[in-house]
Amino acid sequence: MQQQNQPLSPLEVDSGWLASYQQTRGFFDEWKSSKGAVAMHWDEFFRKLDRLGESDYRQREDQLERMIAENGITYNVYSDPENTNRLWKMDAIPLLLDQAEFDEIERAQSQRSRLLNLILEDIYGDQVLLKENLYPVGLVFGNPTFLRPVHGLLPKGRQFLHNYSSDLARSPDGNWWCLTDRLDAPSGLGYSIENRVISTRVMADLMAGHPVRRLASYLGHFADALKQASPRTVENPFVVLLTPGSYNETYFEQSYLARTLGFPLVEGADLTVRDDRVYLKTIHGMKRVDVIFRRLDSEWCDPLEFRSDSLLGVPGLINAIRQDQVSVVNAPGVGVLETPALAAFLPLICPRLLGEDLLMPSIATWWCGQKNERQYVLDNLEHLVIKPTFPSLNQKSYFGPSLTKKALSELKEKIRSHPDEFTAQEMVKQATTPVYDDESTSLVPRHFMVRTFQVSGDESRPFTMPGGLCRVAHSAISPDVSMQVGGISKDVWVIGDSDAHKEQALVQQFFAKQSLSIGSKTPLSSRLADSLYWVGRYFDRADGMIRGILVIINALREIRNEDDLENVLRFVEGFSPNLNLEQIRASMKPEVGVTEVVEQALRQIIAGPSFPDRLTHVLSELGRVTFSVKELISADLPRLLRSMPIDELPKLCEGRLIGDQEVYVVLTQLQDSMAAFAGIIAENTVRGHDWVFINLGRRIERSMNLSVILRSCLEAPVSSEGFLLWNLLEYTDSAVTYRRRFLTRMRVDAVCQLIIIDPTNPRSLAFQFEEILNSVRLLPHYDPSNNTAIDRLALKAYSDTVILEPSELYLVEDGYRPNVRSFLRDSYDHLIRLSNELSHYYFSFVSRGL
Amino acid sequence: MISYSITHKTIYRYQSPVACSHHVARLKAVSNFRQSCEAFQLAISPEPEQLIERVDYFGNHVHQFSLQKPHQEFVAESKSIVAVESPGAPFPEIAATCHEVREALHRSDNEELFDAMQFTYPSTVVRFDDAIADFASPFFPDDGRFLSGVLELAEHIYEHFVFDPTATDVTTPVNDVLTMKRGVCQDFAQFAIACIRSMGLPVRYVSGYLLTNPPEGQKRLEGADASHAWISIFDPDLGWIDVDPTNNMICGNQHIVVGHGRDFQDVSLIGGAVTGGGSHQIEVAVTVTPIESVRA
Repeated sequence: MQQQNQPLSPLEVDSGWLASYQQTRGFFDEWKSSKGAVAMHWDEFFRKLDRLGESDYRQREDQLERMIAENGITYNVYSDPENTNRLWKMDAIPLLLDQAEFDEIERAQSQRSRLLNLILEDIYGDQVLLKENLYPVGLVFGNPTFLRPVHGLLPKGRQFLHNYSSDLARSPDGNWWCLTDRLDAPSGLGYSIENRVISTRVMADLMAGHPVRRLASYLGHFADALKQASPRTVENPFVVLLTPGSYNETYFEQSYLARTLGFPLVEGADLTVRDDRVYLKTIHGMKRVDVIFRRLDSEWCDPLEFRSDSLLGVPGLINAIRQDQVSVVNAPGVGVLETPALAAFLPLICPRLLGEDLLMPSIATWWCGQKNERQYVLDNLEHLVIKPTFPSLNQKSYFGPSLTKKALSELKEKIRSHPDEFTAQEMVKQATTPVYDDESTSLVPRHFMVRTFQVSGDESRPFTMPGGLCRVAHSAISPDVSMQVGGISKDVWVIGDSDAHKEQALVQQFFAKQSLSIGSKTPLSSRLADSLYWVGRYFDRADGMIRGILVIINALREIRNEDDLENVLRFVEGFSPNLNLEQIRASMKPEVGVTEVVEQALRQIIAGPSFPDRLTHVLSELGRVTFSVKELISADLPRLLRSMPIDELPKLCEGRLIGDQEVYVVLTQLQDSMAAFAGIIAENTVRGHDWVFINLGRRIERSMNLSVILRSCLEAPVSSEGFLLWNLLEYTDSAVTYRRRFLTRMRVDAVCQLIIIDPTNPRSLAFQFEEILNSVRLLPHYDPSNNTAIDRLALKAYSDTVILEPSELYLVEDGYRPNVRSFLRDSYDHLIRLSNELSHYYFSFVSRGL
Repeated sequence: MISYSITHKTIYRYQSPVACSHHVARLKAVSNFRQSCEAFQLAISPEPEQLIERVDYFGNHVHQFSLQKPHQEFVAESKSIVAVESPGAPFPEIAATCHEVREALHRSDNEELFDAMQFTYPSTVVRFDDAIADFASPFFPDDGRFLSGVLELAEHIYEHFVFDPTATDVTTPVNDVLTMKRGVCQDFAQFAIACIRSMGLPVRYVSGYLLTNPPEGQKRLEGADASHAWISIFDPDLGWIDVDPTNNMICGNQHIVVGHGRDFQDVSLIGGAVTGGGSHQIEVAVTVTPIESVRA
């Protein structure tokens, strides 16, 4: 271990690779402008980095990038729908902050969160601040995020803001400003923890020289605060993290945080309100929820009381809060203070509510809803930044100095007609910090912001994480640090005093506790089970469709007479029962032949825009459900689906299908991809409940399709039946086995034996039913002494099939095979009922109480 | 004073069973200076597992309930008796000018004025832009009386806008109502609200009922066989005055108020969120009959 806090000599890097670093004039620079202890730490840090050399540093950056890719640390970019997942960006050089300075930040942040909490209590209570005009009514009554349904609701412990974040920047004189408060659903905590995990690995030797404060104790405080928020007194309150879903910008960190804190990650559809209590729907039953840590914006939380168009929320949630049966953290409605205009009023409100002055200043701010302030803004527009007062309205910001004369006068007009909606702020000369720039391969100054994280438990003092999320701008002149526009993140090292290492013990304690409580034991939610089931269903549907389309194309090439052609039509009917062949025929010229009709039918089946069962739609649904369970399955599956040439299909369908090599090649490629998909599922899925639901979906789908097509083809004998039977064997991938067993003699009973009754043929009905029976017995409810409707249906389908006598199926009466007909009709009915029972019991809870 | 007996029946029919549904109903009439709700009954079938009665932010009565057993149909039927005073016609000559109304709001030196401030801002449903403000401004000159302006606006809507249930739905924005000049009571009320608020003046949305069959010799009013909507404006001296733009009149004792808010969404009579169910159909029947006529 290195000696700490020894006096250091000034940095001598004239010759080294860091020598070129120049701070920008007129700005504070974290390295060059710092004084005191932290300046020595900066010098020491760079002296070491300099000594290790540039190539050593670049290796560290490579390692860092590898870790980001391996851990799959991503954020979603809204503006790029094609490629939503982007890898997180991080610079290996940390931001160093002095403990004494950090203490001041912490004091200021604690004051601010107490203050904001009191303002919220007033706005959602007596509204004295509004009546006394200390805070303008327009910023509340005219604010779309002021949520009237929660007015009068006081959260437990009067705590509106359990977690609180704000973005800070440093002014040229070295003081900190608070730029923005993050209140409604603050993000960034997961990323900052992940940044620390990476820098602990990549910069381990450099970190060892400085007493860096640990972050993990914060996670302990955080988890405790969430549990304390529970309205019920129970030993271990059940906390869930409510996410808007996998398309959200910061979904990665939400799932990361859930795992780190040991709370299940849930979507609105996972939760249900019964008797004013909130429950998580799992395949084992309903589990009562005590605390919801939400990352979903307030307005989306309850379609019954806020936005009625929200599909992300939980109907009845607000009433459950009202009845004190659940806590939602942060309290819904706190977003009302996420307005830049707030800054203009805090200096007066703070002494009034707390009896003390505001510790950390905000940037000078003018709300245009006030007459004198508006006049000042209109007179000085070209020197100001103009922001939307209500960010939720998605209006844009204007940067005064870069506006043309015309744009300035247009903006003035807008401000005059809707003054309340505009807030002006002084331009900030944000401080800079050193960043390694890959392009110029040199150390350069970049503007930065630090996001702080603070948690307040029930009674306890707020606790600020000794660190934060530092974001730097992507270019030298830009002050915009948003990750959406290419910003880069950094770890923040708070250099503590010598006992900082004591925190290490707390860290280990936290993780030891976590590993006991988390679990592999988190129950599978009903929504995910439902999605897994549909992954199976859509997968097998798509697989069967591709297989069938290829069989039809091949059959058309091989027809020898009119009978064969009619048999192809019969196959198409059974293969795609919802397709209206008569309508297709009627829509075409009378002189066209049957081949053209079948070809037109295939176009519909593959990509008919108005045909709901089309292959392209099934594949896109498969993609959708697969994406929704990506946390549970192999990452190869979504990747495989993305690589499939689905988009080419509609275009290919415009021309001829039969005899066109290109169509055939694409379909064969798709078939191969489906085989790979099945292989990945088989090889990479643990045989637990996840597997059971996928498998049930596949087997139920396959046997349903098989029952329909077999019935359509076999219930009545036809002339030239051999041709039809052969295509059925091709469709069920059983032709090779058939030829081996029965040579080429085509007989209905032999075909039935092979693709209905024989449980050793993986494509037979009996095989599917045996799989269904085995899977059902692995479901959580299974009790052999007490069969449910699900068990009975699975048993019946299986036993009805294996006891069939092939020769009975051969029997013909009045032009029909009555036994084939009734058996396949019953099988199909059983399957429909089984699917409904599964869905009612495990997914929608229709057939199940609390 | 006239007492009315009101029945309001709503039937939801779903395509497939609903596992669980949550509903909010604002069907019980408020009691205030012009009316009092003397009896109220709400029958729900199937029987809700849970039902809560409360008062919302705007002072409206709310029944919140959930049906937690699978069901494919649900019926909510309310029966109320409401006594309505005939408010004396306001005196337009003492009504405040637009300038005076805005000045009073700016002072906001009593609870009533503070409360009225709520109703001068855009809401999620009723937003307004320059097109609305340009349309509205001739009706509301600074020195013109607010009440007179509102009556002229109501008359303009009545004369130039067509009552047409096929033109709009509950989500039609007010700007579309301005361009189409068509709609139903809800559209006309929200359009008038947008106009008035764009001038910084206070106005509420009112949901309620009309007498189904008017006294002999009087015209049957538009919207009488369903729930109705109109507006209520605030004058610092005269208080809240209800005006019905659809029928171009100051509301008298044929208008029965159920509740008020900033817009349609705040006072939606019955709504819900269901799990499952597929598509659904709603059937609504409203009957309003006088039970006694007593001259005040």
